[in-house]
Amino acid sequence: MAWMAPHRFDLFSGVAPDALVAVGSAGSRTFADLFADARAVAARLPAATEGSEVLVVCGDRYHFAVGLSAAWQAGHAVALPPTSQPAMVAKLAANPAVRFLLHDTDARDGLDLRALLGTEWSTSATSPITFEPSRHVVTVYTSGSTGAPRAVRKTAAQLLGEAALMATTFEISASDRVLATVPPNHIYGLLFGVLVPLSAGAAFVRETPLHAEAVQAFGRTHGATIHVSVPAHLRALAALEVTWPALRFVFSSGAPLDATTAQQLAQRGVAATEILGSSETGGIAWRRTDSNQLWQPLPGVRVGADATGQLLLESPFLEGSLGHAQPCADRIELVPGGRFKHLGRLDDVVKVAGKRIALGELEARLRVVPGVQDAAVVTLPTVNGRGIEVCAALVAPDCTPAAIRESLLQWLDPVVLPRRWRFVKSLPREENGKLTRARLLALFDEGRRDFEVKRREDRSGESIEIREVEVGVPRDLLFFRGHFEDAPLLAGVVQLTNLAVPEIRERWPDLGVLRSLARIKFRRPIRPDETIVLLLERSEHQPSVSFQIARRGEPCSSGTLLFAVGAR
Amino acid sequence: MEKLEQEIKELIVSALMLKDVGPAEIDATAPLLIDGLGLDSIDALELAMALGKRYGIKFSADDAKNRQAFASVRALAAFVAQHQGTK
Repeated sequence: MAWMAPHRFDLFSGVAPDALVAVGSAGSRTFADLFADARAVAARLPAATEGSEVLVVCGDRYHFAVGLSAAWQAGHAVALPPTSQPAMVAKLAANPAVRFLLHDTDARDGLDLRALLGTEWSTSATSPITFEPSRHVVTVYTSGSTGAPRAVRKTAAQLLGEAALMATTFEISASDRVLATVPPNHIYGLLFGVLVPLSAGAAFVRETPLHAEAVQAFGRTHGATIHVSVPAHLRALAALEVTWPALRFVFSSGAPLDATTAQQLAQRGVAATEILGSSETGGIAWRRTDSNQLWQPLPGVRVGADATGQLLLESPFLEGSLGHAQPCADRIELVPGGRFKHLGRLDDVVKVAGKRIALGELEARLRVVPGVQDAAVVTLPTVNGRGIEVCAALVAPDCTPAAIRESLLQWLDPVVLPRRWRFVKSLPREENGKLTRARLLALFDEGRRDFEVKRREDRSGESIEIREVEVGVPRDLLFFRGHFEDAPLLAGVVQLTNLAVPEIRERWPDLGVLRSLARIKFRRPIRPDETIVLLLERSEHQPSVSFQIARRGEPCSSGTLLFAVGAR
Repeated sequence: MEKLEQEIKELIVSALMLKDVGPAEIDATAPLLIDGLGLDSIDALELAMALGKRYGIKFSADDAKNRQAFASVRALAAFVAQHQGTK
């Protein structure tokens, strides 16, 4: 089917001015309110010039829609930041293309648009905005491999065309109400949470609830018929026993929906509709999770693959691709009948709980943290809603994870930050300087430590088993934070509960609960990054174990732990 | 209450699959989210699921109250104790 490009795009042309556009705890607003508020904000914007952008950072979806409409009315494109973290917003606000910052917080430069809301009279006239198809309407700044945010420019034909297509494909109408758990600054949340309802004359919920109970309460209170979410959020929602009755669609994107969640949702009467797409490509395909794992290209989108499986895309939502299929960063496998399997990405972009991060950006941001000399990250799969977790290996002799995390949080969403840290003297590079995934992963290996086992006999001839193990003291032991920030020490109780006792339990599972301690001595402090030797001795069949922790042959602590007889 | 705090610490480690942190290292009064233990919104959801399953409690329809509940292990224990009692 050939896709016929309209000659122009109209927003708000068919809507009823007194119809609701926004509902929520912060109050309902009509389209007439939206037009009036957008006029008030547009009047405060500088004159538009070629390529000028207005950065919009709003937590409330109605405020966001006002900012969007105002910028468009005034002839600007809208810039959307990859995250709302302060340094990221400040950096983009300083971008020469960005002429103005609109927001709804107390903490930023630029214009707090809340001050202008309700200052213009609403009229019963609609205020359609007309766009040339080639007009640049939005720049989505997104995480890119080089470290700098990557600008993805969208025209009216691409973005508004896609919103209209989604509304048609899924029969979204003016009677629908959309509740989203994803913010509007990413392409999926922008389209499904804001532009699809605006395009269909439907209403959206202003707030972005997180916890399943809150999602459900918002859904019921505001009569949501369409839920826009990601697998990590849906997992929690599906685990709640009830859902709300009026729901027609549950959209999911950002990561494949796991089978259990899909099944639970289907049992509640709403099979999830998954959307495959990216900031660069726009929407590519969709699937109903109850049927199978194959993706159906969206109407007007043609999908092919080269010999290596690289996606070749022809789409009205991808610049210059109609008639000239563009290679994309995805790997797919075509099946007869036009559908396909999605096999993953070809670049270093990953999604943590649906949030996009290029591993190259993460490494670049780690390397510029003061005190960090070298850094590399690697991801490991998890079985929970996160999907993957990021592990960071660092050469940073004087840094703590807490300080590095604080620095990254200026830029990045908390969800994509490393969850595991290894501080090393040098990264495990090969001779040619390359870092392989295998060697990085080895740093995070969960394998048991090697014990050296010896035996000796005591004076009465009893056999005593001696186990000796070398242990590195990880710098991220939480105990090092807070109380001892300047001179971190491994507290005595932690030496017992986190080093000695777990090792004893692992070696001698026949021992019962810990009854008492005897002759405990703490002689020398233990600090992060030190390598210590844990020595355990147990007389055969006795319920007590002696321990000693030593550093370079000097005892740091010692004592005897007495256990109840019989396994716990 | 101390027992409940200990259980919650163990649940945090197991439900969030924290590999480098043991229950004893978690300070009951330290912030759980972002600062302190450094948990994020996805951890909060996972932990809410695990607590719901273990104690049969529901969280609030108001996310601001949920944020307060997740302030620390101590705050979570208080929330669990309160909602278990009113079941």
